[in-house]
Amino acid sequence: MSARTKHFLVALLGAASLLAASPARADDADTSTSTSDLEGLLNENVVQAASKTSEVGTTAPATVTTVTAEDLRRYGIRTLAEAIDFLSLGAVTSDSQHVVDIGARGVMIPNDNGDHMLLLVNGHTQNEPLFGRAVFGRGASIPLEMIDHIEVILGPGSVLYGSNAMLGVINVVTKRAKDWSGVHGVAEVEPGKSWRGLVGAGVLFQTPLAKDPADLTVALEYYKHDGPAFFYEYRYGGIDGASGRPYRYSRNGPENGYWGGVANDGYYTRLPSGFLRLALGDFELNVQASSFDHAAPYRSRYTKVFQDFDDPDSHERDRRLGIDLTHRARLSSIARVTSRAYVDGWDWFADVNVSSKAACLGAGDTSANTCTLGGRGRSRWAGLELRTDLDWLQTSELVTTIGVDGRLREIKSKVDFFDFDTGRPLQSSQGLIDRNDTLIGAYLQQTILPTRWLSFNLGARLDKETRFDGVISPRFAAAVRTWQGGTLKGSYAEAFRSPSFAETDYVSTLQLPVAGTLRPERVRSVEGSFEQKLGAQRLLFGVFRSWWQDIVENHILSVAEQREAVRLGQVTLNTFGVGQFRNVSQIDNWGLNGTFEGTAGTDQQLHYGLNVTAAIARRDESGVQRVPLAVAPQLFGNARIAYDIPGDWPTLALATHYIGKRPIDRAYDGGWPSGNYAPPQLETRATISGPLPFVRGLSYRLTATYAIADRGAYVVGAQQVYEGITPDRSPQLLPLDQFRTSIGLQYDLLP
Amino acid sequence: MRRALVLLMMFAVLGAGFRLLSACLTVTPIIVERDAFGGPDAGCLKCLQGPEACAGLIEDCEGDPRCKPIYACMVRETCLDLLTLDDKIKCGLPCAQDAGIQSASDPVITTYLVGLVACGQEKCAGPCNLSDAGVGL
Repeated sequence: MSARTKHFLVALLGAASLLAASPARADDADTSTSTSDLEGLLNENVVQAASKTSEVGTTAPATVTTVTAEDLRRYGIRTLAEAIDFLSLGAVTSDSQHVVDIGARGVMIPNDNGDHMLLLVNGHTQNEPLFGRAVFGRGASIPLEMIDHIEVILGPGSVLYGSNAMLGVINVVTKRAKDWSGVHGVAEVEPGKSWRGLVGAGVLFQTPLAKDPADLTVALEYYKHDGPAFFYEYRYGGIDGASGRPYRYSRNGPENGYWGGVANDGYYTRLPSGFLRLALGDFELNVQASSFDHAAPYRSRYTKVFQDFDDPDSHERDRRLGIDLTHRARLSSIARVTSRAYVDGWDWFADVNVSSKAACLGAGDTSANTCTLGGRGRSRWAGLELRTDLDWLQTSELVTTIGVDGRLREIKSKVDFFDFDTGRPLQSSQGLIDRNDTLIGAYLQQTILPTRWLSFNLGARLDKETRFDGVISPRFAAAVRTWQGGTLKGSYAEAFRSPSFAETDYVSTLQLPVAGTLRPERVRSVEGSFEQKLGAQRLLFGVFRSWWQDIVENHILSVAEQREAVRLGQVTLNTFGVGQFRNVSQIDNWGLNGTFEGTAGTDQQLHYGLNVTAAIARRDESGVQRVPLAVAPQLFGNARIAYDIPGDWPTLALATHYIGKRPIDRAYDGGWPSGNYAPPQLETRATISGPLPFVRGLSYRLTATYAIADRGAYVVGAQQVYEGITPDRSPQLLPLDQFRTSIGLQYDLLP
Repeated sequence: MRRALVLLMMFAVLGAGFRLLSACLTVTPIIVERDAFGGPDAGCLKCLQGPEACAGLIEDCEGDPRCKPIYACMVRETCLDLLTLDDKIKCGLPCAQDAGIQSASDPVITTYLVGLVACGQEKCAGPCNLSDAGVGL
């Protein structure tokens, strides 16, 4: 631990000790308590993350979808990405098998590691600093059964959270013990493909440490998947420039230049994870740990450019440990203070094996039969956030929120090159990053409710980190209750993303250092919406427009630029495809979205919903034609219906989501004469769930999912770009699993 | 007092977590000492230029306006006489790029230069150190 880190922790301890010594009790309605109670009282969705306080979704200063635990169970949802796709408004994901990309309102930036969307779990940031990575697929490592609700907040959200909240903020809130009491066991199988096991508990118990009972929820989960074994059509990849013979695409394969076949071994996930939440008196502790080991069998545009076909040893592993300690105190009748201390660690291990001589030449030695490109990274960060809410009138009509969030970060990474067979290093490590930096953000938010029908939310946040000048992110929002059940909302917001350290600091023989300074990406957005409630029905219609600037991309140098770089001594002229991260492009985005949802029946047995988004997003680069964004769908949405048959009978549910035709990831740099669009996708899931008769506490869930399209939006294989060396004039696209089933059993041993 | 105990306990968890984080993946850089390019040995070029060896291919290359400057550069830089294939390629690539070649799959490379390597393996394996074992294919 560095001296600087120690000093920081000492300061952090001191601040928290002061709070602990405070005589006041935290008996206020803090942000994490009783969400479901409030919802029941108000017949409204209650959200927390939009303004860091519990408020009804109708007047929250953004468009918010709340996905409840009941929805997750009812519609057979198994991952965060599925919850977004099947149940949310305005957000969408796209699974490349290597990563799950996330987008919103027509903007999606493929392979961005999820760094344009801020992911929170109980308010704790998940995005790490090396890549800005947040995982939305299985690797999110949040046991679904523990989730109380998911808030999907669209639009810029940096006003309270700082970097990464450009597309929006997704906040996962876990259950309290009273909502998950007892001991729970879950076993779920996708026959022949995957299984998942979970044990967990929710307990309220007395301790001598606090007057109120301690509230503990804890779960351990293991997920494993293998396959399915997709067939990748054989395609000829050409002559290996370093050997003079056709390429070899696997360690034991022939040098015949053909890539493809049945991928039996190289598509898998191993994911142990655990989550603990303990509320004790005024304190709340959240601990989250996971190890996400996964592999996909194909080479792709981005980091797996050279990967052997179906190689189980080419894999990536993210490990994460996050600890978050929150203390809430009421200092006076108007002042509440929330302090949060957190430490996080994340490490990254990626091995990519390649049996091409040309790639091994780049790795340092063609005498290796197979060389391994090994990425290793690590980041640790610790911080303290102090927030004061001043409810001046004690009626929630005039509330000022002031907060400051300081963070220390340590980021290290490197890329190594090994002989796979012997483990011998082939050259010295490249791409060394070794940084310590400080980040501080201060925010101010004012909510004003001058009348019962009008509310304002105004705020701004200033973020300053070692690499950049300060960035200010304002937000202005207003809501007008027009008539019974009707609300008109409008807002203006800005957000930013600090480039990741991989973008600002990574340098190698193939990657030039950034020229000058890389500016943070910025987005400005205006939106308006109208919402009408009619009994148990809710109808929302909204329009939005956003302007994105300074989008960071890895620009591949032209020959002239590379020569200039050689002249300046920045790079040696011994390779092709040298890149440099630059602020390259802008995005112009506008569109509309709508929701209709509700319940019907004497006991609200019938549930239904529909979300639709239509958007236009154009990438704009100086001197280049404006084009739609690769991979990003411009039309998408979902629909669902479920019926709870009264008594011990099952719940029947059907959910479907649609993604319109969209450009593939290499639509603009692949040069393919045809096949540059992925087909529309309609995926439908039928779910039956309910208690098993005769066995108290045992319940089941059966799902069947069918997707009409068998191809995704990502080019796979050795021929990433059209070279004209074979008759193929269209790229090979990612194969998809069209039909899936799952069987799940849950046992709840209630106290 | 109770509050202080809880605080202590919670910070013990934070501290333990921080210690645990220190034990994660090592990212210490690896340093590999390598010899510079092997010293030139004029035997390889002389062999390749022999009428019984690869003279025809070299003639074809010199007849191609895109290939000619590359070959001339490689001769000037004594690329072909360097010790290993890796060294020869690393020396030759800048020549290709200087001549405007932008991709390793350019026909000039796949036809002439890869052809020259293949020919060298067949006809001048000894002088050019291009035996199969040497090339490591």
